[in-house]
Amino acid sequence: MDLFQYEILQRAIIAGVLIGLISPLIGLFVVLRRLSLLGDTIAHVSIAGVALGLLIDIYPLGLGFLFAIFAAFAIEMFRKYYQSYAELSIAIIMSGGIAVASILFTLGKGYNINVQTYLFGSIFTVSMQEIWIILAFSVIIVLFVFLFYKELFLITFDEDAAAVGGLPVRAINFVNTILTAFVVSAAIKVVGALLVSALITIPAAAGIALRKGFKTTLFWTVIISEFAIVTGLLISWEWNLAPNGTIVLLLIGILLSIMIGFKKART
Amino acid sequence: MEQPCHQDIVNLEDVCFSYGNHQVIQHLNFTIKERDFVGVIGSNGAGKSTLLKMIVGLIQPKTGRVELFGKNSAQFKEREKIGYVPQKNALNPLFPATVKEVVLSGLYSRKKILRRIHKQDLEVAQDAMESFSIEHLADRKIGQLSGGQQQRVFLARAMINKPKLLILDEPTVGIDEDTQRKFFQLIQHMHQHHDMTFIMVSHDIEAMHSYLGSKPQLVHDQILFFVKHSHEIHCDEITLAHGITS
Repeated sequence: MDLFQYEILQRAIIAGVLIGLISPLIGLFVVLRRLSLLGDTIAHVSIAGVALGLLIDIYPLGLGFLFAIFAAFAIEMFRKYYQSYAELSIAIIMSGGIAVASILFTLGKGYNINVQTYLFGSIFTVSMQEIWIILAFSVIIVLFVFLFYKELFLITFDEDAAAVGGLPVRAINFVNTILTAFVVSAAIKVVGALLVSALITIPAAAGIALRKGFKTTLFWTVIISEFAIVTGLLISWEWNLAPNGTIVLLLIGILLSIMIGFKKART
Repeated sequence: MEQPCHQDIVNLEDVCFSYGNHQVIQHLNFTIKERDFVGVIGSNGAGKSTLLKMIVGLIQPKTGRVELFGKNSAQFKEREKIGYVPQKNALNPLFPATVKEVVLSGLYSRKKILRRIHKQDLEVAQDAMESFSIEHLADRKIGQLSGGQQQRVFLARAMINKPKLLILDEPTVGIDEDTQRKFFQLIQHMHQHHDMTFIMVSHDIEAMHSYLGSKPQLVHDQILFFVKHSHEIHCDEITLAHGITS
């Protein structure tokens, strides 16, 4: 296919396939722990790091990653304090992230165009260096989910039973949150901070709507995510559309199709 | 003749617990012996959940000592000896898990981290499902089952390790009366025929009275403890049958 002769598109598809794999792998556990806004929150804090990086001229995605890790630590700290109100930690950290980012934006008025790259994503400018970083993150996340699958399942399904059974619930939840920060940092370049949450939550929502068992759902969330990202990239390349918007709309379209399909099947 | 089957399973010595200045449990002394059936009743906020968490070592008392199978509960490592049945209400009906996956997850605390699931584990899960007559539901999603069926799934999960102590945390909340009655019958049958100790938190005083009598063994603040002692069931009556269905 002629399309693939372009190196820019090749790099975008490699990055997209990696993100399409890791976002739903972490996303399904995040959604089922009722922390759907976790990705969004980390992304908002991460964008504050990106803004600081642009202001002081240090690799923006690197600082964004450090801020994302900090957000993950802070969320877990607040979750421990407000044990029965997990969503409160999300609200507090998200507000803090937006507040810091807005101040940094006003301090660095000259870099608004650069900031937009991170807010809305620019997958067609992804560099080989960034692909290597995304690959490293992907290896860590795939290994974590593969090695700790049974612990992740039990903790997500029934945290009390996992704790009674002696599993290190807090440690595994913490690592899961840290890895969400990895996914966000990797995915910001693809869809941007404002839509990164979509890659984490919508494939999971579509997978859950299929009403299958856990392993099958995990498998289908990855397939749905990969399909939407690769198809979205190709459509946006061909028709000169925004890739992030195309990918997210495709994901929403798949989700709605599954929901309508099941509703029709029942009637 | 009574046989030596009455070792201490849980021992609470002068246990106190508070959240900040709010004293939840004060100077509680209580011993649960092997094969006892203990019913714990109390209103919301009385400290029932706190008590359960202390017994299984998830939280530590401010003062006093909690022993589980003769060891400090915080240091207790043989977690497969404990089975846990949650409230039905704790289940997210949309959770994408099949009955087989849920029952199998009972083995996950016994399996060391990084150890994979083997074929024999699947066979053990199959046996557990057959014991509770839910093998025909193996591939159904747990959220699609009735309340009674869901509780059988959780019992199968809890029993998969053949625990010595079974903890039931308000297992009949949100279940209709007829199913509640059948569930209690099943639990009673398990108590009478298996070498196990039961701690059951419940709001259902009637059901507790019918099996454990109307007089509580201990009244501690707002928590009532009803006990059917193991000496009321002779040790030689214990049948270690695999099938559990009543």
